Amino acid sequence: MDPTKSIQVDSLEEAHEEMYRLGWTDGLPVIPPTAKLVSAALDFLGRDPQEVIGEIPPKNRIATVEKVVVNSVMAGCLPEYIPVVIASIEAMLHNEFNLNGIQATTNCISPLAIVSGPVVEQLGFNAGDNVFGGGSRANAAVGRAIRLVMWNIGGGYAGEIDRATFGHPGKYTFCVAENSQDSPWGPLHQDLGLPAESSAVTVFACESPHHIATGSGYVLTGGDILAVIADSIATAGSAAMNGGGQVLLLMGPMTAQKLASDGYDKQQIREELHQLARKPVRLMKSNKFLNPEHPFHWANFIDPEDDDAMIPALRTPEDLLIMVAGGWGSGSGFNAVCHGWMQAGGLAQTRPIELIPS
Amino acid sequence: MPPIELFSPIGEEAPHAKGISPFPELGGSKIAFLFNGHVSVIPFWRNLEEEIKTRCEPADTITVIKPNTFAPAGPSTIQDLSDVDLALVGVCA
Repeated sequence: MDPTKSIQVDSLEEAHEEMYRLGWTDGLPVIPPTAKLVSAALDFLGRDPQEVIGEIPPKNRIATVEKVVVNSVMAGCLPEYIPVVIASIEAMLHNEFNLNGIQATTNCISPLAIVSGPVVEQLGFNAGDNVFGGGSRANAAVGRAIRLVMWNIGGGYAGEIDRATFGHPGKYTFCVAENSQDSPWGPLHQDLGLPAESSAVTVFACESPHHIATGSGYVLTGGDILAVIADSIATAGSAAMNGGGQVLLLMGPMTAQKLASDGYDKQQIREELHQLARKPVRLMKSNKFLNPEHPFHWANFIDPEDDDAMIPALRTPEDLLIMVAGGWGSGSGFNAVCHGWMQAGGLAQTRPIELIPS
Repeated sequence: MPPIELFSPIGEEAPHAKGISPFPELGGSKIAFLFNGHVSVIPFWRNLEEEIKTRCEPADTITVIKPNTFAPAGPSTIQDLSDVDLALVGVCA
């Protein structure tokens, strides 16, 4: 049987079990991609179904518009979400992203889609409470569609080519939106080169979010806040401490507004965290995750014989991606950090989103 | 109830992914196997080496295992392999 061709089933109940049997899902149930749903989405997009978006590694199978639509339907996407999915895939196919490596690595990273700009409100993405959790169809379905494309078109099957030692729940769905409404600064996509007023998606392959509590924004100084955040970034076992690369800081709106009121902009935060987020050679030399000859190793620029020398988690200030997301919490400044995949890949890529009028 | 058609989400293979380029003639040559020594791949590389020896009858083989799962081979290792005719290199981390 040609696995790329459509199948026929006698009932919806049979459809669900057959999709599991064929390996069309990584474990969670999916929406049966019926002709009606797929055709409606293709009609909405108005693009040639056989238009090639790209080849998805590691199996380098062809992602046509139709195949992306099928996976998006299975994920529960409304047709209007699919331009976001397509833009995310295009971003992931950038060479610097190294999707092939991301699909195969023993590391636990997964592509995170960060939606920003007017599209957040227009399509109902969640940028507030539970931004990484449930409750938003747009967040859940877009993130899921991206994963199903990686699974079904890319062939990144867990336990086969995907050798992630742990993985993380973001390998089922991993999509958030930026909270521009409560942010005192410009959006993430502006930092990465797009006009501020654009709608965009940024993909960044990263670990699961690690919560950072910085006390009450009304009590702490900006310096106190950044000292806590710095220590949470510079953990001895983190990818950044061992091999550099990007780190994503999601600042809750309370923390962001407190820092802004103390006079900080994003670049000042990056520069201060670059200085603060460090660990001594004395600690790091005992972690032999990378050989000192490895091009990512900190021994390339820090004397490994100087126990008191401080190794930066952020090799440059620009390695820190900053966005505002999440809710206001209960009076505490909650934030989150997501470490990337050293310098091996998954580096943030941004694409504009062209919405189709409904 | 009429049958329900489900579109397949599986992509077609790219044309250039089909077909395997033949190995060059390896009889009498020196072949190196260079990989990361990860526990999950050792059986594969062991079997590959045995298969190459049986089918291709190289003059000599050398296996180089890198000291950790992620580092590329160092310059001294590459220098040690400078006289091999073919190196089979494992990639991924």
